[in-house]
Amino acid sequence: MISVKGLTKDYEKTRALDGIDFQVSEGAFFALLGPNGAGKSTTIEIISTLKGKSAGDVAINGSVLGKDDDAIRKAIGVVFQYSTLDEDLTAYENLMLRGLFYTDDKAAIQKRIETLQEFLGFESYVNRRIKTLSGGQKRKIDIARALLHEPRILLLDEPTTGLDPQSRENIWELVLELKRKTNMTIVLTTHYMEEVSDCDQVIILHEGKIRAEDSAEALRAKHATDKLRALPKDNRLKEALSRENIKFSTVQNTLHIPLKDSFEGVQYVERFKDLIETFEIVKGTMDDVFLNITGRKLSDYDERLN
Amino acid sequence: MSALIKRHILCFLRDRWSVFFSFLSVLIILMLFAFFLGAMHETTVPEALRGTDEGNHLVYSWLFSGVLMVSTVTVPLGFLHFMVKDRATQSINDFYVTPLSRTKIVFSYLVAAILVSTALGVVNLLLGQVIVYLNASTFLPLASFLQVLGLIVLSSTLFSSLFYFVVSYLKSLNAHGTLSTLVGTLIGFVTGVYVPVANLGNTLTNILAAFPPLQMAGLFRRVYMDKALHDVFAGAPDAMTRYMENFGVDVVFAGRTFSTFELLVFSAFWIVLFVLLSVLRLRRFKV
Repeated sequence: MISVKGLTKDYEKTRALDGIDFQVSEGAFFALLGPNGAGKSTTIEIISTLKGKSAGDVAINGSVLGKDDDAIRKAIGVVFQYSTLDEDLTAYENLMLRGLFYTDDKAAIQKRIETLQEFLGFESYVNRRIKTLSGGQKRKIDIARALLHEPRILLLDEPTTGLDPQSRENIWELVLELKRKTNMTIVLTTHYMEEVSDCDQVIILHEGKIRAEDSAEALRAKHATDKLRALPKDNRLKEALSRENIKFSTVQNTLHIPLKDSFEGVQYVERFKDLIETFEIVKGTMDDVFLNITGRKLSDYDERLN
Repeated sequence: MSALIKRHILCFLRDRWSVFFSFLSVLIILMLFAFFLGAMHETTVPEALRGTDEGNHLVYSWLFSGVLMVSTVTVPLGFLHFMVKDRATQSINDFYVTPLSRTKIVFSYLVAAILVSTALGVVNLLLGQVIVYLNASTFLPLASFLQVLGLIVLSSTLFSSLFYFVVSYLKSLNAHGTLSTLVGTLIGFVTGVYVPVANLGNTLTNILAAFPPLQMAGLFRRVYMDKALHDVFAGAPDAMTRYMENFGVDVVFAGRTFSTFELLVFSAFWIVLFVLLSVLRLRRFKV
């Protein structure tokens, strides 16, 4: 459905994308994960015909980027990082006017808006001006706008960035529901680890290059380890682990023991139960995957940006 | 493209401040007229006709031909604020990902600017006629009214294309705000509304006569003031010529007065020039 080969984008002094290749199959839930500046948005902007490429080939449903751009534009819906709605117009006016970019049939657009407002749940504020809506409400209208012409592919560029936690969760639930009910192909960019957990295919993009590609579960299995976090009763636990050559690290008063799998953690707990005050077995996270692949934590980039 | 044009116009009309600031120069002219420009201009009317309908007709025709001219300059510039905003906030990307062609998207702002400027120019013309009638008990003759309508379209097209080209270089709303302030301040001077053209001195008058604002102001005044001039200066052709030169009805360049036909040709030339420059500029819009 989407085929990207050797995609490169050079700006004056920097290379934003360095020959990336990937394929997205029909109906896939595909994520590009990486920190700001990794090249995620540039990839989306090129696929959505907004930016030219410096090298490489992109094809969507057989339409070649640079040759069949109109066909590509009809096939995609884009939700940008920033809202593109007109603040002084109502949600309905925004959707109706944008619907007219695709067809002259006002009745059909009206019907589509009604379907979308029922599905996305914005009936109560469809006639309110955008500037009076909350961040989460605006985002819903942004998504409705992207779905107006019933595209086969939905490109979501950091759809939950800048939203409060509650709105973030609501919008994310909406995206998952959209995926379940429509089986659209969804391409998502994000720097939130938890969002890629639901994706069938994840690409980790770092400094314009693909560092890993697989399903979220497979990436976790390959690049992240489960951990036993144990709060020892006293020093005897450390001594016992050292004696038995079991690797561990100390974080404040807690001992972190890397595990092959969760069952190994259960065995350790059983073996050292007299020396442990309390414990938990923690599954490997996508943050660990990112750390193991790039040598940095994704959260480090957020801190640097903040 | 019509949906896009409708969108631009609707956004402009909903943004009350944009509409207000587009008219600010016009409001300033009306206020200055009420405070002292009116009284000053009154002294240019032959003494016997001061305070009569004929005398008032001349003064108010001069005022509203200037107002019309200024509104067709400041409204397109104010309107094109949306083009700068759409580019600065990247909202324009929402249009670029649709099957609409880039040419249509980019030129929709120009077409919308011409339409808005023309529509508001017509509103100004009608309001002006009401005020002229209240003070001078007369309306524009039908033929002149239709000619003024044509000039509103022409001037709106000229200044929309001029500012469209200029504004395409602006990347921030601050830059647009600065340009609007500059134009709003200068437009009254360069069209001879704040100060009679003759008072600007020969050098400056010659320079201004070579550019669109004074040329277009001359066209508006010739048509709008034609009846008033002939009523007030009947049998006094020399006085009429002096008045027309002093108050920017005649556009004089190096001692030569441009004919109406020449002024119309110049306007067409400016429109073609700025549309062509904009087309060339459009190619650079692609990232």
